Amino acid sequence: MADPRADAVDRLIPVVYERLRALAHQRLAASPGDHSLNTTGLVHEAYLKFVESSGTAIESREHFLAMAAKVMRNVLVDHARARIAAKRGGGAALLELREESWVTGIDLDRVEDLDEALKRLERLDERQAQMIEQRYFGGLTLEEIAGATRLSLATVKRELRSARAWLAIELGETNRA
Amino acid sequence: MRDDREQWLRARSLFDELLELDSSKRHERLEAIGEEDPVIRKAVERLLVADAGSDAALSDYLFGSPRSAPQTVMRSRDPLGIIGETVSHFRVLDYLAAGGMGVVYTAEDLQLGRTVALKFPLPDQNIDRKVKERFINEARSAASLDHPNLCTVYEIAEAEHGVFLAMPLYPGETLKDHIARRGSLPPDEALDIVAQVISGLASAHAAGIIHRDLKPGNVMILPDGTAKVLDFGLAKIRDTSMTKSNVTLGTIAYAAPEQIRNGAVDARTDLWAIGVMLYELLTGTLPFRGEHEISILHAILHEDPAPPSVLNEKLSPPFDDLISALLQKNPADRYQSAEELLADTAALKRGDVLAHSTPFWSRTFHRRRARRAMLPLSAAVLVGAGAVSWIAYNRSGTESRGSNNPAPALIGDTAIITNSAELVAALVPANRGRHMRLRAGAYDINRPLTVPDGITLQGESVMLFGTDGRPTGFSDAPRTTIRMTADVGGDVLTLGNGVTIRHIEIVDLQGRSGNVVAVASRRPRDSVSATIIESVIINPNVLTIGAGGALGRGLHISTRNPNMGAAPLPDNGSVITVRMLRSVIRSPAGGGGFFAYNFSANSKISLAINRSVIGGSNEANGGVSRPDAVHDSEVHLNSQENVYVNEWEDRCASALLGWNFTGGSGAPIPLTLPETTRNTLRVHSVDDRIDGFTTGVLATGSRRFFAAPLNAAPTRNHIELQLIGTKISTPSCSSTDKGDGYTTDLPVAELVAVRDLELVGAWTRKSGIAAGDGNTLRVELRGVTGSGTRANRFANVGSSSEPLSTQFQGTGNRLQLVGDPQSFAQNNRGINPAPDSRFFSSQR
Repeated sequence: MADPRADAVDRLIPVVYERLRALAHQRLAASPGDHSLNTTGLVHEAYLKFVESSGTAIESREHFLAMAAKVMRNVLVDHARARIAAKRGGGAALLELREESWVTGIDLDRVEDLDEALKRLERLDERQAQMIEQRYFGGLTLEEIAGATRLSLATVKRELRSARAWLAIELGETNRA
Repeated sequence: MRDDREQWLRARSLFDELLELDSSKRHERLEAIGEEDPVIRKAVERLLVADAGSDAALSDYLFGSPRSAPQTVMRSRDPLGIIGETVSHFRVLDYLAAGGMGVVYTAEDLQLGRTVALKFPLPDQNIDRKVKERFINEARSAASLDHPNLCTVYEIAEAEHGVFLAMPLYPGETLKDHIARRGSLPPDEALDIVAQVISGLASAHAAGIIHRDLKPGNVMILPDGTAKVLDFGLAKIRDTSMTKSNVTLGTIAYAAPEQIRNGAVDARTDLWAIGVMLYELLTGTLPFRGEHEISILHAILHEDPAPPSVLNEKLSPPFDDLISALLQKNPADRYQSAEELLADTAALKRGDVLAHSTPFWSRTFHRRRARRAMLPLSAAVLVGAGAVSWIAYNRSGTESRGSNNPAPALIGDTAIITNSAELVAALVPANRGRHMRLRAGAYDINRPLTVPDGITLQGESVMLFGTDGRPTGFSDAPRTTIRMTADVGGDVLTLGNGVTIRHIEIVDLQGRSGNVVAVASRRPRDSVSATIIESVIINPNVLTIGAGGALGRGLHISTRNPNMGAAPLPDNGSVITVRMLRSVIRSPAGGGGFFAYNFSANSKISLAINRSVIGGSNEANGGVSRPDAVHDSEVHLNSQENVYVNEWEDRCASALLGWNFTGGSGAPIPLTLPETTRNTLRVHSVDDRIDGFTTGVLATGSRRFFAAPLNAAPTRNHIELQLIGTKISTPSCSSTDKGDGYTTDLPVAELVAVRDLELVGAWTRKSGIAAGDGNTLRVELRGVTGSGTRANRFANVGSSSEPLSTQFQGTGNRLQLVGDPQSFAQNNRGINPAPDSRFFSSQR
């Protein structure tokens, strides 16, 4: 299983991941009305910054997308939490006013639900949780997930199918509760 | 916690298993599971129910999908809240539209009494004063331009809501809507629109103004056909606020490489965008595509698109040349000015020769002229089904380009190669990314050559085409030929990642042992992508199996597993992509055309063949176990408008298969082979012809050759076979079914069964060797033509010595045909006998 080339790439992940995350937050802080906080915009910019300009930090596009999915998840969840905190405490008016434009078009309740469900899935099967993260937070295509996880498309489809069924049950319960 | 994991693992593997079963078997199995463990049964049942509705249940959770890009601004009916208000001297009437660049309102000019459009750049607090001033200045100078193809700007003003532009309210639609409505445009019309845009550009460039964000959404088409370019200079205001790449997000498809890399943007950047637009107008598709922006970025930076004439037959070769000269990655290789481009656009309209010469897709002009001249000959060549005699491959009198001067001339990234010593010297990794132009002549080589990553080999051969648009072979001169002259082993040419072969003939030595062109993985998780365009591969040898595997193929593609001993790792997780376009493989001695096999796990081969003519038997296998287990691998064959033809003289004397397809199998050698499982072969064939083979198409979900303990039984291998408009013609031979149609790698010099189709869910060599479990073959046939009465064979489980006793038939092995017998008979002709009704998906 231990492939030296994979190890080298894996070691780079935390470095790039941190920078991606910082970039996402920085963009958000600098411009709360900026509607480019979506995977596409973030990843586009980051790709140019790290991959195309700095050379060969990440060998594959898919690998990079997978990382971006992780970042997206964290940033979105942070936002969902910040919003709730703001609602609980006073002085939330401004925040609520801007809420729509923070992360436009995204239902922050669902972000939290999916995040919680994913944490449970991680305990059951890390690989499946990773695929769901990539698909749902990162918007990766099945082919891209196959590339990022180094599995065949057939395997990705099979694993996602049971994971999605599980998730549908989990999220159904969440909604009813 | 540990228990939960185990429980889940068990539940999901049962879920996977049950999905493969039909409803009655599923129920049976569930009952059995329930008796053993009611809790797990309940869990699996819930999963199955949830599975049916999971798409709907989860659709709201696709946060990262490119489709879920925020739309708030667009959705609002009055995003700035200014309807009814007076802004400067305009009374705002209604909200019109929103785009990447801003929001547009209609308003009444209170001073002049006319109705105008007001455009406000999207609100953004981060534009500092200096940037704003620069924008205003540039917008002002853009506004000062007076040209019939540029949008008039009445004035630029600043109000509470920021800077805005007042413009005429044009009737008509944007070019984006225009093509969305009409698809690709007729060449003349597309040229006319683009010429107008270029004309407007020329005037702006002359004033030193660059558009930066040219795209169909920024071009208005008025009802009288006038094109007007909108938003000149506006792109700049987004520069600092969005990304540093000077590109509005979401329209990256039109961005030039230098723009993406944040290099200098100049007039030539706009010319690139013209190239993308023209490509889109002519073909109805973008030259650089992808699901994700990164894919598009990557394509723009690194890939060459397919020539437009490949996508639209109506386009004459100079269209390729013009667009090629616009889509050069390096601005210095493009047209240098809008005027220069305008002159060539006009020449193209008149049918004159273009002034600009281009390094890629070139020569098409001259080549097609030659094609027209040669038409009577080439038409004759393909008329007789399979009676193919291409231009002789062993031409005598070709002057060999031998020399001892291995220093090719280098012009930019293009090296001119004139002899074989130069060719050998040029094939080094340091030449990555370079184009090697091989002058016409023969390049004799005496050992196998590897083309390192990223090299393009381009010859001067001229492909001729038949009336059906398929290639018939190269013209006599000029012709670039690489010839193997020594009887050594190995593949003549092995292609590295990113290699392209164009306009070259590759000829193997008769009697030699090896393949002609090979594409293989070289290490675990390797990725290799190669392209063969308008080339000819000549394979004068027969199919054999050597120590290292199959030999005697024209195009041999494999993810490798060299682990015949024990030491090296198999190349697991490798991905190979090969495209072959308008090319010819000749196998006059009955050798193989293409061969695509995964010998390693978790690997994938994609092979796309278009408009080509392939001589010889062809084989594909999702995964083949050698000493290492091969599982979860996939071969994807996309074949369109090709002719597959048996060139063996006496057609009834040998068992040759047009297509020989397997989902997964062990190698047919008596070795200890672990389980071959979950491999997949997908075949998508449209309008292909399969001519003159004793078996047209053989497909088996799995094959097993030896019993345990030698070979483990193959499980859950699968074929998806889709044949649309395929014409199969098999010869008419008086046949005795030897029932040995499977072990076909070697010609059998006896009478054999002749079949259009042989479709079997799982195959085993004989009774006593169990076929394995859960191997499937799913077939969809539409508009397929067969040859009439033949020994067609359809079975869930088959063997070369039938009947196969039940105990060796395995479970869940299945042949499934899409549809029902009636529509099958209506949609397909000449398939006789047709498959039994029990094999159809809608017959339960």
